[in-house]
Amino acid sequence: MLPLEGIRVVELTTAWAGPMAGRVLTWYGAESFHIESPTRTNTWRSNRDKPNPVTYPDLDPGERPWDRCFTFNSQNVNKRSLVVDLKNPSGFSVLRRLIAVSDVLICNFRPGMLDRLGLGYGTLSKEQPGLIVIEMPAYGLTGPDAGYAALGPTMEMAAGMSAMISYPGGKPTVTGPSYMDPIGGFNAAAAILTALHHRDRTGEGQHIEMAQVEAAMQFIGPELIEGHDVVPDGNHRPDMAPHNAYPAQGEDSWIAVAAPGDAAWMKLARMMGGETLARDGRFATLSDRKINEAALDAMIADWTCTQDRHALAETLQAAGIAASAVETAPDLANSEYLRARGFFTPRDHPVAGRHDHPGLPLHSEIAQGSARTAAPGYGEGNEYVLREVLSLPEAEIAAILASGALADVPAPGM
Amino acid sequence: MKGALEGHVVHDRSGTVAGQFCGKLLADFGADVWLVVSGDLAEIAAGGDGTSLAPLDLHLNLGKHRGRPPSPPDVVLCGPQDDPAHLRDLWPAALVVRIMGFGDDGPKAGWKAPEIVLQASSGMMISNGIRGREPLYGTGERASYAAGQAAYIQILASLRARRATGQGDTIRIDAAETAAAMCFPYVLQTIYNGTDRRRGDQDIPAGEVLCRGSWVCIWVYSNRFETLCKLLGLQTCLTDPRFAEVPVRQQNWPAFFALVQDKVADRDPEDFVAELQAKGIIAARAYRISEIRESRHLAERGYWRRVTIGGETHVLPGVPFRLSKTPAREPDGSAHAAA
Repeated sequence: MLPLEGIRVVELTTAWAGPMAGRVLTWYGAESFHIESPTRTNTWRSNRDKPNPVTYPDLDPGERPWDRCFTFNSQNVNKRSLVVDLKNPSGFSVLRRLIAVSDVLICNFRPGMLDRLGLGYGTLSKEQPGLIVIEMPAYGLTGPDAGYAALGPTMEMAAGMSAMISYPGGKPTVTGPSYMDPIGGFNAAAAILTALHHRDRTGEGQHIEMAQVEAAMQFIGPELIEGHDVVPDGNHRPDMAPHNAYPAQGEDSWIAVAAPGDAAWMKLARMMGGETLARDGRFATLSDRKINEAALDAMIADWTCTQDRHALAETLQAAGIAASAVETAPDLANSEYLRARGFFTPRDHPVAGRHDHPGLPLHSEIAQGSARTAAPGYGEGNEYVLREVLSLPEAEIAAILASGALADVPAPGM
Repeated sequence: MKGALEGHVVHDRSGTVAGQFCGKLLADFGADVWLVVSGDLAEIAAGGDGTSLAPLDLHLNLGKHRGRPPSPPDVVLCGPQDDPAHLRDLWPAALVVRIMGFGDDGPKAGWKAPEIVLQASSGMMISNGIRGREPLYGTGERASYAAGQAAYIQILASLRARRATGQGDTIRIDAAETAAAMCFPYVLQTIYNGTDRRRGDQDIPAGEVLCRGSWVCIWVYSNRFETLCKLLGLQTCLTDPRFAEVPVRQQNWPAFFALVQDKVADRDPEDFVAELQAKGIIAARAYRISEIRESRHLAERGYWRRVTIGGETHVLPGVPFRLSKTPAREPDGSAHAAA
């Protein structure tokens, strides 16, 4: 039995952070309903600015491109989709009744949205004291910047991280397209599980505020406590040299190498240039290597640039030197390491087809989660909610469907 | 108010950023966490020398106890030398948590795993920086923190399973796998169609401009492009063939942001961000550490926590999430593990 079987989740979420939180809960067996709008499509289902063929299986958008997008389909495994017009009274009533039979409500829109919908915790908890409601705005629910809109890259800037990442003298740099979203997703999942733990003991639900910027700042806690500005210097660090990415054989092919101490450097030096280099006084100590870091980097780059990055990383690691190929998405898809961890699970999607899906790094003997179903098609769960969850009479179902409250294709132009 | 995890005893034997961050989260939310400084079970009561107040120690170990734990553990955060099976034999009902870089089995078992190696192997690093230059690993020890967070999540799930079954557990978390799971899901794109995206390929409608003393990141959705142009007096861009239509604009963001840069070099970054946000344009200042410490927003939210240890007051980051009924513990200098 999965640990969250019997827990029902409603997600008023979009993009990555909120859906990732729900994904963690469904990994453990929760039943989750991703609420979607018929008039404002989740950007992770479709990019209205510039639909890109690389988004879709076989580069083909097909007849239902919104069901074939890798972004949405990566974060919504195990879920159901309810596409409902909340401005339609029948639609809102469906959502309200779904929440009434649920345990967790996740919202990752801007502050005030739940209250505007009449779904604020203060209102809901009067009828459902056991309900857990989490709001995960970028900057929190209060404060001068609370109303600011944000995306992963701007949150990384606001969290103080980007200013610590750049080439010497360069611009602040964002990690990947976004690193804040998965941090927010994990934090939200952690918060909900904490609240569920309390509820299991007492029956009491609660409200959770998870400001994504603040949550991410935990990851740079020591720097915040120290209070001094970090001057970014590419991949260099004051406590290690060498510590960089070096060119390898092939286009845009790199290997990361780090030597945490003199002993590690001596091993690397012997592999590169034998005893002569190992005894080279320019590189004998960390301070020597920091002073001569440009020459050190150039010498290592000369050595790595003709070598295969994967083979070299294995050779270096076998010798006790920290190294890794700078892996690409194709590397990950073929990673023996990730395969050995069971990271990928093949799942059939009725519109996107059968593909391996990336998983979560959570391994347990008694509470092992899993990816059991592929992401839902747009509105796939509409009738399931009406019939199986809410057990509505057929006449009411017919009336709701006739009202246009639910949809299984986006409105034109969305 | 009691913490959600009150009554749970944790032995933190990890000695690592990932393990101690997991222990910190457990302590923040109510568990009694006992910091064990040696891998030797016989030295479980070992104490510190009372002099260490390093920022890392303050961040990770404030609120943990030293000394002999009064009861068997509900959770054990393993040290690098610990054998989880042995710990399970000692405490069958405990959740034994092993967090490693690449795990202790599989093709990369035992690989050395500093942050740059974790980020390199995650698929994330290849997306950081400028195409043609070396990819950037990031900063700090973020993959380790993420692994600690993942361990916390699994512990909560396993505690729930333990309540139902009475069984203990062995939990395994790899920082490398965690980092891969946090990477933008380009791996599924590759699986879908064989293509690959990396730094320079992302087509993100965003850029950074240097205002007075600070960088500001601006994200320009197509429905806000006209607003931004009018706000900055760049109306000519609306008819400029480089920017007028979205697909072409995507290829000319650097040229557009060069024009924006000319308009904002003397702007106060806070005021500029506020003006953009008021117009519905997503923007943020790239705070430096010293600036974020002075943030009016965070101050008004009561974000920072303060603790006095040995007469010295330290400013600490606030908790990652705020629970209305079971809030995190306030820091207590007297309970500081290193004090």
